[in-house]
Amino acid sequence: MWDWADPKVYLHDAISTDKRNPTVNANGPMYGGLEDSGDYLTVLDPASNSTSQVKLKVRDPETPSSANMKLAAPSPFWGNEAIWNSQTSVHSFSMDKQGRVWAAARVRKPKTPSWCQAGSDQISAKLFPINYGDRGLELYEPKTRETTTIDTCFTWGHVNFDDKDVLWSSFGPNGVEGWFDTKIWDKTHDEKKAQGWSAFVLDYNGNGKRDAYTEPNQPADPTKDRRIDVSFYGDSPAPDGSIWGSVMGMPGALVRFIPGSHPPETALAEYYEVPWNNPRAPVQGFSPRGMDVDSKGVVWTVLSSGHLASFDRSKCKGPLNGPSAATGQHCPEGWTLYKFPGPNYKGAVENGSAESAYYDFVDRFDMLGVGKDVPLATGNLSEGLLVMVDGKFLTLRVPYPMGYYAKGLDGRIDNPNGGWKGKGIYTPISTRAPFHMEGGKGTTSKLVKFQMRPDPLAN
Amino acid sequence: MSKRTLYPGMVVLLVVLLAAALAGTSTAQIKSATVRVGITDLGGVVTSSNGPEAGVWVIAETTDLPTKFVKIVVTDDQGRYLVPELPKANYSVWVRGYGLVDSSKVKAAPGQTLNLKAVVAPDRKSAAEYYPALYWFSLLQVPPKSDFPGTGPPGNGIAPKIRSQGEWIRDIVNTDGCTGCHQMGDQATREIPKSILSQAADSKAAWDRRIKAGQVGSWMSAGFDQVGRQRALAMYADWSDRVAHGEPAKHRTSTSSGSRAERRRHYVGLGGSQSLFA
Repeated sequence: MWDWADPKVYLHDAISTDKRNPTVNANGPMYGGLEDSGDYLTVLDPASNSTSQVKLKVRDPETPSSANMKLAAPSPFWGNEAIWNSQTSVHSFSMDKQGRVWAAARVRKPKTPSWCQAGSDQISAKLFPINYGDRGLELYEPKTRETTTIDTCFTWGHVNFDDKDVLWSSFGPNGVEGWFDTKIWDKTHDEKKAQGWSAFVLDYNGNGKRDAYTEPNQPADPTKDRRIDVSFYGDSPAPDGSIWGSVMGMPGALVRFIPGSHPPETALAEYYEVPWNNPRAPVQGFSPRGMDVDSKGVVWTVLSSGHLASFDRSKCKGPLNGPSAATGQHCPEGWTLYKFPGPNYKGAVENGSAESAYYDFVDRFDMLGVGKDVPLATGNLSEGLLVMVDGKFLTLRVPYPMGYYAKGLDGRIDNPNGGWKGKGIYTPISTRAPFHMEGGKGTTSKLVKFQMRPDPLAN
Repeated sequence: MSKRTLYPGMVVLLVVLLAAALAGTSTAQIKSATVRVGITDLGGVVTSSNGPEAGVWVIAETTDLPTKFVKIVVTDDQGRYLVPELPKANYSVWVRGYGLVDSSKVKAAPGQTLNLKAVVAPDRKSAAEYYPALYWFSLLQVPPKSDFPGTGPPGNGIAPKIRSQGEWIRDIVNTDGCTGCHQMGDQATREIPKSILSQAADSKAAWDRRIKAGQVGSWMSAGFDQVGRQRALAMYADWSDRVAHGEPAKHRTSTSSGSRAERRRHYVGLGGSQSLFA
C-alpha cells in the first residue's frame, strides 16, 4: 500500500493495465484520477516506490472548474479554504495495448461544438443531436509524456475497450451511448470522424431491426420501435459484441446495447430492470451502480439494496423484444441476488444488507488467486473487498488505516510465471474525504495491492 | 474462560479458532513450527496473554522510501506470520486484530525474526473501535415501511415522491446517498466534530450544519431537502446520539459452529485471508 497523492485531493479510479490483456504495462506505472479535486494524474512507480504527477490540460480555458464551487459552510478540517481545484475532473480510465492512458476528462464548456448539434453532417448528430455534454477524453502517452485533449459530443464517465479497440462510454447525456474508435483516431487524428453515438431504442415492434421509433413521452405504437431515456453509469463490452451498462434509479436496470452493422442507425437496446415488486422474483433489489461482465457474458452488478447481483440473459424464458420486453420486469429468472455479508439497518425490511458497494470487477484472469471469472465488489463499509467464490463471500479487509473505501479496481499480471508474486488486484482509496480516515487531516489517498498467498508463511 | 469470551461475536470467533488451531497440536509441534525468514522478510509469532494469536494482522510501515509504504499480512492458526519481499528500509511493526487493541510499535528491518506481543482489548468498547464501519452504520434506524409513501412536511416529514423504504435507503443512506462518497460509520462520521456540536442547539442542528460543509455542501444539503430534510436529519441525529451515549456496534456473526474448514473459511474472511496487502 502506497501513499500517492496530496492530502487535499481524493481519487476516483485508477488504471494499471489493459483490462483485456493484463500483462500490458507489466511492472510499469499506475495512474490515478482526481475527479473534482485536481488537474493531474497521480502516478505510482511500484519499482521505485515513488510517485509523480502528469499535468492535465483543457482545450478551452473557460472550462468549468470545481474551484468555483462555493462553500455552503466552512469545513471542520479545512475552514474556508476551497481545497478542490479541477477543470478536467478525471473520472475513470482505460489503458490500450500500447500502454497509453485514455482518461474521461472535461476539456471544454458544457455547450457542444456546432457539429454535434442539429444541422451537422456528422451521422450521429444528424440522427440524434447533442447540445450539451460534460467530459471528453484526454490521452496520455507515457513514451512522449504528452497529453492530447479529445472533444466528444457525448460524455464519458467510465471508459472501456471492446476487442476492436473501440472505447465505449457511460454517463450519457441522457438517452445516448457513445463510442470512440481509437484505430480511426490513430490513423487520422480526426476526433469528429472517430466518434459516434446512438439513442437507446427498444425493438418494440419485435421485427429484429431498428425502425422509426416513438419518443419516451409519446404513447407506444406497436408498429414502431421505442426510445428510452436512460444513460449508463457503469459499462462493459461483452464477449458477444454487445455493450452492457447499469442504469441507476428505482429500481434501476441493466441495458444491453447491440451496435449492429452501422451503430448510429442500427443499434438496438434491451432493458432489464432489477426485480422490484415482482412476484416472480424470490429476492427483490434496487439501484445498480458498478458493473462488469464475465467471460461467459454474465453481468455482475452491485445494488444499493445491499446485494451483489448477476444477470444471465441466457436464462430468460420470454421474448426479449416486443412490447412485453419493454416493461423491464420481464426476466426475473435471469437475476440472482446475493445478500452482502454483515448486518442490516435497524427496521430495514426492503433491502439485503447495510453494506454499500460502489463498484465491482470480474477477475477474468485469476489475478487475485482464487479463480477465474470471480467477481470482486468494493465493500465500502466493510473496509475491504467482497469476493464471491463458489457462491460465498470472502471479505478481504484492509485494517489499516481504518477507512479503506474503493471505487474503481483492476488487476495486473507482471510475471505470468511468477505465481502469486507475479500478479495482484489494485484499487485506489477513493473516499472524497481522506481526512476522515484514521490519521485525520494529512492522510492521503493510497493505492492498495491485494495478493493471495498459498499459505500465510509463503515467501 | 479468557477475557475475550466476555465479548461474544467476533471475539468468540477468535477464541474458537485458537482452540481449533491448538486442538491436537502438541507443544513440540508448536516449537517445531518455526518461521523461515528470508533476507527481505519479517516473520515470527504473535502471542497475547491468551497464547498464540490466530487471524490477526501484522502491519509493517515505513516512511524511509520515496513514498510511505505499508505491507500487511495475517497470522496463521498458530499465530505465525511472514511479511515477504519488503523493500530495504526501517519499519514500524505492530499487531491489530478483532478483540485486540493495537500493540506497541516495534522497530525492525527485513531479515529479522520478530515475535510480537498482541494486546487483548480491555473492554468491549475498546475492541469495537476496530470494527468495520458497517457494524456502526447498521445501528441507523430507518423509517418503518409503513411510513411510505411519505406524507410531506405536514405529515411524517418524508417527501411524497419517496414511495418505499427501499427508495429512502437508496436516496439518503446508501450508495446513491451518503455512502456514495463517504464511509458512513467510520469514526469521523459517527461522531460529530466538536467544532460543530459546540455551536449547535442539538445534534439535529449539528447534522444540519455538518452536511453543508465544504465545496459539495450544497449538494449534500440538497439531497436532504429532496427526501424530507427534517426527517432525514432526525434519523442521523438519532444515530449519532445513540453512538455518543454508548450504544455498542453490532457484533459480527459467531462461527462457533461448523467444521474446522468452515471456521477457517470465515476466519480467512475476517483476517483478510491468507493475503498480503502490498
